[in-house]
Amino acid sequence: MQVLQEYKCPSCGGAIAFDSNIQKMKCPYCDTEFEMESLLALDEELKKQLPDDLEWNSKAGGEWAEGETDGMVVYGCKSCGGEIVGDANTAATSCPFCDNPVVIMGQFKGALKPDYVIPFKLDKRTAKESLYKHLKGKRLLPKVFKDQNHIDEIKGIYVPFWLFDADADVSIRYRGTRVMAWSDQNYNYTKTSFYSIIREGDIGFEKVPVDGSTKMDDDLMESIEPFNFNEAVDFQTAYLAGYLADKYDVTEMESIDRANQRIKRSTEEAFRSTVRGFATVIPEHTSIQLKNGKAKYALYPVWILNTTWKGKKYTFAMNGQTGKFVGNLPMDWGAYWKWFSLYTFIFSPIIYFIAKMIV
Amino acid sequence: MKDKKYIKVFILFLMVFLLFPSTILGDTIPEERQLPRLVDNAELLTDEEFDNLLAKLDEVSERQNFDIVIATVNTLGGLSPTEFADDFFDYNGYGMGKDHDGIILLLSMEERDWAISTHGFGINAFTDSGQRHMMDSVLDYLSDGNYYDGFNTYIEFSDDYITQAREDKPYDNNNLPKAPLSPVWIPISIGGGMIIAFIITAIMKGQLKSVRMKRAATGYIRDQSMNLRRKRDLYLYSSVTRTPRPKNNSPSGGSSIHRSSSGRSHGGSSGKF
Repeated sequence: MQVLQEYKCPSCGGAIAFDSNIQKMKCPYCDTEFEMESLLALDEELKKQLPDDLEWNSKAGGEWAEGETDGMVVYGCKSCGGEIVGDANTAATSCPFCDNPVVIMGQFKGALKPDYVIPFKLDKRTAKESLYKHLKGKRLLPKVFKDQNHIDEIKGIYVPFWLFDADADVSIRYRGTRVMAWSDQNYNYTKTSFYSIIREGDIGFEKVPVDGSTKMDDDLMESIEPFNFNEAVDFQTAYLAGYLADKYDVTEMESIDRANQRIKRSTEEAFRSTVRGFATVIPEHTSIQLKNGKAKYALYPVWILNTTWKGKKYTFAMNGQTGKFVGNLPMDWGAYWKWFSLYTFIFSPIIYFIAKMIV
Repeated sequence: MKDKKYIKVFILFLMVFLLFPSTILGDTIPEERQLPRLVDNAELLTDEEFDNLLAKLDEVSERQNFDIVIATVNTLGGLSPTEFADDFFDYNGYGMGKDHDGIILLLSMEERDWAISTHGFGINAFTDSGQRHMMDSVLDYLSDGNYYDGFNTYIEFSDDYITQAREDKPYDNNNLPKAPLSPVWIPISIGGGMIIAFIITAIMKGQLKSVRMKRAATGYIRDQSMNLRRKRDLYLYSSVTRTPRPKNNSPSGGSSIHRSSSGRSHGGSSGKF
């Protein structure tokens, strides 16, 4: 049964993984490098071998409470026979015993096969360095956070995204005013002219991403946008080797609302920018029809770093392609009041002095 | 105070010929100052206040080589306050130096009139705006009947105005002396400082937060995909409102000059207190 996929090195038999630095598969044991293209053919062959039904074991022992093991799946490692425990959405992981990267092929069967993948370009070391850069220059960050802070976990994850293409058919009517002012000897005149402003047209959007995994916070995923889709390639499971991957658990239909929201707002802004030369503009009627909606399924590379400080968990995310690094940080209130007092102390006399000069 | 009595008698006498200056006094302007720099004919000051003010007037006048004079009378004898002040200044021989530089502040209690008359360098030093600015402060005291403080303020202002006119250009409507800043500005400044501090620390706080939802999908608009089929700016109607213009009556600056009965040029101003 071909449930798990390991990519074995043809020359030494070791498990090989994708190397983001050389953008190729590389054997960690004998340093042999493999072109992705050659693996594509192999990949196709392997898929043909895939059985129609997925065999898995749910080891629900008597001591497990009802529902506790729901969504838990156990696979047997192809290299060492150890048990790999994943959840129902795990698509790529590594064996906890022999650390060999494995890809769970069944997660990419049929309609579940992603259309595109953006391979990792940045490695774990870059992610670590980015974290330290992220902590630098933030004066309200507690000083001890940097020292006491250690990375609990760092993982490269291919996050499932839905990419929406859509054309928006737009008809918007605004109410606008123009104001003219002039004066003669005795009076100031203000003339307010009212206009009805009509804009109709269309605008296209492509590859608007929506996070398709409930495990990833939506705001965290939107914060590391944008991904450069030009570097996306057709999906191959080989890219996943060495990383973690999940299949989507938010459906296309569930994701479309978020995409629509963003598309609608951008459309409004784009058409609003064609209304110029008015003092005030208020939309009176807006009609946006989305057409030709298409969704694609893609895996985007994300480094996730978890740290704990004072019992609280902090999650950081780095765009595995562009290196954009985000994550909220704790604040040192003592430092806050110190800076607040200092600036008050500096600016109050300055204001007083300026007032003295001009009043 | 013997001196004062003598002065009063003199003033009474003076009043008579001030009513008919040309007939009694002719047009003679004495070369020497005939009276002290403080003449309190209306008896508004106590003896102690009188001595203090006179000492101060003498000190400042001698130091500045510029006569600063205060006169109070009960009646103007039919003259306008300005005419009375001009004549009082001229025919009592006030003014120092060859141009008879000086200023007089006259109070008449009959109709509660005040008048300022300047002469010589005083015309330059005390511009119309400068006088208005000075009297704004002085009148606060005079209207309350606090003559001593009012006169003191007048002396201090005059001292400052003369110094300013000698060293730089005289105070005028675009460079009036600064009034001391009201203490209201202390809490305002602290409040303003706190607002600025709050803004700066809010920016520093903002650095700690980098996770937020995207507003829109602006980066995902397909290149050149925007197509405006219809674009109309339809004029509906308009309305006109008019408001009266604030009258622009800010003075042009400088000092206005008039001619007194003696034929000499004076600057000055007058009003009620």
